[in-house]
Amino acid sequence: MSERGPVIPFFGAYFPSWIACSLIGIFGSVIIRLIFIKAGIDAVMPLRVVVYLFLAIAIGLASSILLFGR
Amino acid sequence: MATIAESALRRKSHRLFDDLRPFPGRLRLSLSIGAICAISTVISMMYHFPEAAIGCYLVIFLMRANAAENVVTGIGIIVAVSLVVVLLIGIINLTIDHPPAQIAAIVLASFVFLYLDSATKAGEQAGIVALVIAFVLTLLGNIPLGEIATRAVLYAWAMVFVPMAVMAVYNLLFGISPQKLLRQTVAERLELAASRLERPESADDLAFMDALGEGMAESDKRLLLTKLLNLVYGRAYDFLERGQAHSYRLLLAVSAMPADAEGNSREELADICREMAEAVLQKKDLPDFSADRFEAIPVFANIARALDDLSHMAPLEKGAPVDDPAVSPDIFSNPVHLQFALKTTLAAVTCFFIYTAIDWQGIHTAMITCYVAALGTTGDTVHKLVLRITGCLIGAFFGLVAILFVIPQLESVGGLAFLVFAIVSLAAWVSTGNERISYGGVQIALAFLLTVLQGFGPSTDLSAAGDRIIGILLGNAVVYVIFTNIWPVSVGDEVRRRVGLATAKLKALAGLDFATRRASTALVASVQSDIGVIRNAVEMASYEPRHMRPSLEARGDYAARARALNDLSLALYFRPDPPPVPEPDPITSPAEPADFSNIAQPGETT
Repeated sequence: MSERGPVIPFFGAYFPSWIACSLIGIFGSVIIRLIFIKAGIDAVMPLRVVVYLFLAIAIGLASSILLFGR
Repeated sequence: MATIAESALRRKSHRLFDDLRPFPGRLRLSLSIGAICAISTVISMMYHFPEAAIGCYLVIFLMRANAAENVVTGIGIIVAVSLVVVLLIGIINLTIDHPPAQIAAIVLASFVFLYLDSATKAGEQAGIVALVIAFVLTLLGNIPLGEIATRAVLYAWAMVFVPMAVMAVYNLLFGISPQKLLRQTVAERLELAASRLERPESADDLAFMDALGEGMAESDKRLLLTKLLNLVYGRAYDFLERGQAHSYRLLLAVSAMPADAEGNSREELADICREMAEAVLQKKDLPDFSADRFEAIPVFANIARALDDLSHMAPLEKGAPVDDPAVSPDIFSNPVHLQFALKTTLAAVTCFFIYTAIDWQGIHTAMITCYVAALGTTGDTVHKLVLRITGCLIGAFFGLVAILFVIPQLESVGGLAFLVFAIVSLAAWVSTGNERISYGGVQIALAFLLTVLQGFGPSTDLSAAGDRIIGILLGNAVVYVIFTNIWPVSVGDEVRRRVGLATAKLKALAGLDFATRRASTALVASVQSDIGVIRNAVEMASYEPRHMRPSLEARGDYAARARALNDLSLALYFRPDPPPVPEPDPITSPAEPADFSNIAQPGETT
């Protein structure tokens, strides 16, 4: 917490990068869900909410490492 | 007629008792609302976001049983408020140095969004946007610097964002899914049909009438959401879609059954209903049932056929379409929308002027109350006023007791969260009830939260609590004066409008052949919900001020119209050769209700 996180300049204000990462995670898992529905995987999957939630977190964290290096 | 007046009080207290009874899911929903409010209070307190109370109020007001709907609403409001913030920063930059322009901006923004509230499906959501804009703009009068103003706008955004985000996430994880609610609805209808079959003489059974008057709009919305969000598909979706329509048809058939129908078959059918309800709840296959045996008994033929279709999940035939437009068709022609927007804006601005003129910022809740209180669109303003003031006083009482006895013992935000959770759950128990009482619950929570949540932690300031209660009462009084004196919408107007709508729908139905009419469950359901509104309106009539209250004869006439429309809709639905439908005529005052008494018992001919 003491360290300053990376920020993105946006319309003159500085937004913390975690907002961007969580948005990427949410949109990523929504897109993957659409693909899963087409492929029929969604219908047989147990605990759907939990799976997609963790998928979103995973994508968010991955994008944080890849895009912002932390 | 005198007996109606005498027994009115008794009947009302009886209804209040009925409305407070538990129903499946009510406890869970109330506790969820309490938990969401507690969580968002903690977040607001920790990050020092202002006005946690209004955020919690939004949750109480918007939260429904349907988890998918709550997620969509939460995200929708967040997006809308984000857009509004951009708009607001523009408005503030233009008006910050010109107080008159600020007032004009308040009036204009509030008018536009309240118009949308009245004339489109956006409804309450648009009203909330109006509330946020007007509230933020009135705060600007006290802020000397542009930059601080921008900060205030961002805080207002957070005030909405936090509770809505908590609501969306909570519902995603713990909410009740729409498919489960649909199963419950089907089972509940089967149970209601069973108890009506067992006791056909209890013709004014409140739960049965409510289920019938609710129509199919709510379940259709749930179906649509499960489809859009791909929550269930294939056979499971077919089951919900068909089960929902067939079970409503069963309710209609049971309501058309005469009270003196023969006993043995009734009990047999009731047992089958109960068996099916059990199977629906346990997600088992429905018990097999064949209508053949009952085909010979005309009064039961329709009930048996509905049960038959339900047990075999017969595919739905294509009936007449129900047009339920997103924008009401008379958006620019009907002056009611314009009047509603003007009245509410006037009430809000009046309160703003009152507390600015006497320089008493402490009662600024008056203005917020106007937006909250004016959300009712029917003529039962006074009924809601009674609920609001009682609710406000109960909530304020809880708040004062908490400030005097509980909060001094608290040391952290955690304890405050428990307090909020307990009282808001209690208020939510009332607000999740029927429309007859739900406003009372909303006000209990609002008054409690406004008195208790003042700073960023447990607070024991009594004078601020008093100010807020006075603010709520002032807001309610202003709304009452304005809504009963300027363009009052009487219960009679609402009845006439609904009679016109229902007659037009029945007219459309009458033009079709019998096979299509029989399949038009959705259209009949929408007529039934109009009739439900008329029945409720008749109840509300006794709350109107004396000079505009419909006479007892007029009320009896409204009730007769509701019965006539009901008989006609059942006849059109079940009989191959129904009586003619009268011309839709919403404008003239109700004369003699059309005589449908010569209608033969539905189901007599097949």
